[in-house]
Amino acid sequence: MKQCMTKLNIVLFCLLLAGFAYIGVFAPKDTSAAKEENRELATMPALTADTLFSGSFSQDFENYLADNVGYRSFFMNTATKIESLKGFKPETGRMVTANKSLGTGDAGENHLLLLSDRVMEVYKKNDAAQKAYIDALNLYAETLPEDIRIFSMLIPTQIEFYEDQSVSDSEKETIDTIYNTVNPRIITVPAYEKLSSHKDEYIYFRTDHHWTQRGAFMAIMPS
Amino acid sequence: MVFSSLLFLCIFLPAVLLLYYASKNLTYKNIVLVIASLLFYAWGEPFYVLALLFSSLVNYLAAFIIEKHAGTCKARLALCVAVAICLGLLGTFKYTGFFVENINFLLGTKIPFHGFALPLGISFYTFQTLSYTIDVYRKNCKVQRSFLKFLLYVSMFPQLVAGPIVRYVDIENQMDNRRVTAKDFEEGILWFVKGMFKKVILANSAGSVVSLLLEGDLTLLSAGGAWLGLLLYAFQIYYDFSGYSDMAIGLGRFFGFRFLENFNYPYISKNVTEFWRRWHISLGTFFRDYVYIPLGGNRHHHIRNILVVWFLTGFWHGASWNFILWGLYYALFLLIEKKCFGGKLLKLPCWIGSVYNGIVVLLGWALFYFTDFKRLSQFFKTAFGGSGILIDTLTKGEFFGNLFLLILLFLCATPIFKICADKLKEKCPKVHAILTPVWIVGVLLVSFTLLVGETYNPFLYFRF
Repeated sequence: MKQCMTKLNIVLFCLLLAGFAYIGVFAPKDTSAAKEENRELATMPALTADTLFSGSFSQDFENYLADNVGYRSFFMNTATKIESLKGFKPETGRMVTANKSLGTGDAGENHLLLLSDRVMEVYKKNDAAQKAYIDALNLYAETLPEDIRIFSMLIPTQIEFYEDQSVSDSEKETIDTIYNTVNPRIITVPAYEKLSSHKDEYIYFRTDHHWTQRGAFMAIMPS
Repeated sequence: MVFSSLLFLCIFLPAVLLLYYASKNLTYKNIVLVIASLLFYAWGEPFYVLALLFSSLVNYLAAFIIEKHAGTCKARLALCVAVAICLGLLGTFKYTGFFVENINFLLGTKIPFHGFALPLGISFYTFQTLSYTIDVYRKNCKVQRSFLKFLLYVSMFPQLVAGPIVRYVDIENQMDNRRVTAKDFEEGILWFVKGMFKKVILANSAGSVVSLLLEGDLTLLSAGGAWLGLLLYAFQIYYDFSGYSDMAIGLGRFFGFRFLENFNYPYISKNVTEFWRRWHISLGTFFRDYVYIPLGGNRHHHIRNILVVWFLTGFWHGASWNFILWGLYYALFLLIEKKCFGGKLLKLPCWIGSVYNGIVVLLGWALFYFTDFKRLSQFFKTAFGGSGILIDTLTKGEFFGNLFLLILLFLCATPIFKICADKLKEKCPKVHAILTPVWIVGVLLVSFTLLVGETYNPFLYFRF
């Protein structure tokens, strides 16, 4: 019995390795995963003296291998399921860090708060961006002819109204600061107050960073 | 190349096993292993493989001279030259940047330096070749006449890049006489699978939370977040390193080599002295046998010897002051235990010792993690309430989001599963025999899946 099991274990191990070799190298590539990820799969890198000695060949080859694993979408989905077994989401929500901005796709650290039924971008005060915005508006105010009207409408994101754990910095503060500093020629639109008075309505998408048409309509309605 | 990669699992390991077992005799098998090992090494570092070959050649030749002129000053000279060349290589590649930076800082000079990329595993193979030459000088082992076999000892891919530091005396006999029985191979599988479990399932999972908590702006982190991050880092480094060692031991078994155990449940230690007998054992014994005892051990200049050994241990881990500080930090606790209250500590209930050791080691990992002193002091400020937030949404989310993982990390650091498995083997061997293949298949499948899963993450931690 014992001998038997030892052999079984060895056979299983070798079969698994053979299986990995098959899936990794010989199985047809799975293009559906790349479609979901909205990108092209890595292609086999060219083997030249240059790429070999710079180490770029080995790096690109590993990327190629990873992208062209057979049944890739199955493994990706299963991996996500395995990851979710690590714990559970508390009621106060879970913060995640994305390495791309949700809106623009720019690289850079970006925090999101996941609640049971919502995903919200966390707002962090950014003095440089604030100054750049004010400078741009003032430049328009100084250079454009007098008869052109210039508007500024800063729109809060949903975390401002639906979250009370001080994860986020105050967007109201930023908006007020900007509105009070820009050239008085700029016409500021009080979208914040309008949205605030309608916050119980469906003015933001739950898992997207945009407002809904209803939200937009409320913001521009004359009071 | 690393063991926990698709390239290794899908191509390298199957191919090497196939070629190795298809080879007729030991010479062919050795050739297969040496070529595979050099390819393994050269994969990411095509040039530095020359440094490895050079270091091997120097020590291979030095050993001949030492043997021929045993007992004379020629032998001593050959030893000194070999040691100087090995340490010179290590020093040049690993520490030049550090020295230039410090000289520039102290003297206000501006010596330009662009730094070398650190050759893979140089810290490990330098120690291996050194141990061989010194052991030949001390007549602890015979000279290896075949360069192929010597190169096999130095370059063997299982232990090449991350240890354990294998000493030539330990595998001297296995070079020429080794057989792999089915039992050996099965044991190899079990070591390899255990290592895979530790590295891919435990260490990688802990690591992703560590970087989320400790890589960001530390002034905004909560105190709870700082401690949770540090705790997870302690687990990450243990499972990463010991997992890699376990895989190396398992791979060694596949080819008939028996490497010594490198980690023995270090986190259950009851004092710091015991911790270092259980943590990275091959490094500890190397410094003990080749530095501490030759300096006089605990008979002459005991305190100096401990400080030297721990300075070097710290410095070996990295060319940065924080590693030196980390080494000396342990020297301090070891000295306190030896000279003051070590004996008293052993008489107290176990758990007090474990808590004491846990706190010392945990704080030590902060010194180890932050290579930048500004960030290190900010970390301690935050950990002791500097940010004014005890627990925030991020910390709470990460704590509960990884609660089951945390429990597993704690349990696996103790021998509890090993004890249960041994009991089971004794009481119901049939159940044990059935569960073993389930464990093997389960771990390998999950690890493979996670390795595929981590290859493309548009949002690194983006999971619902």
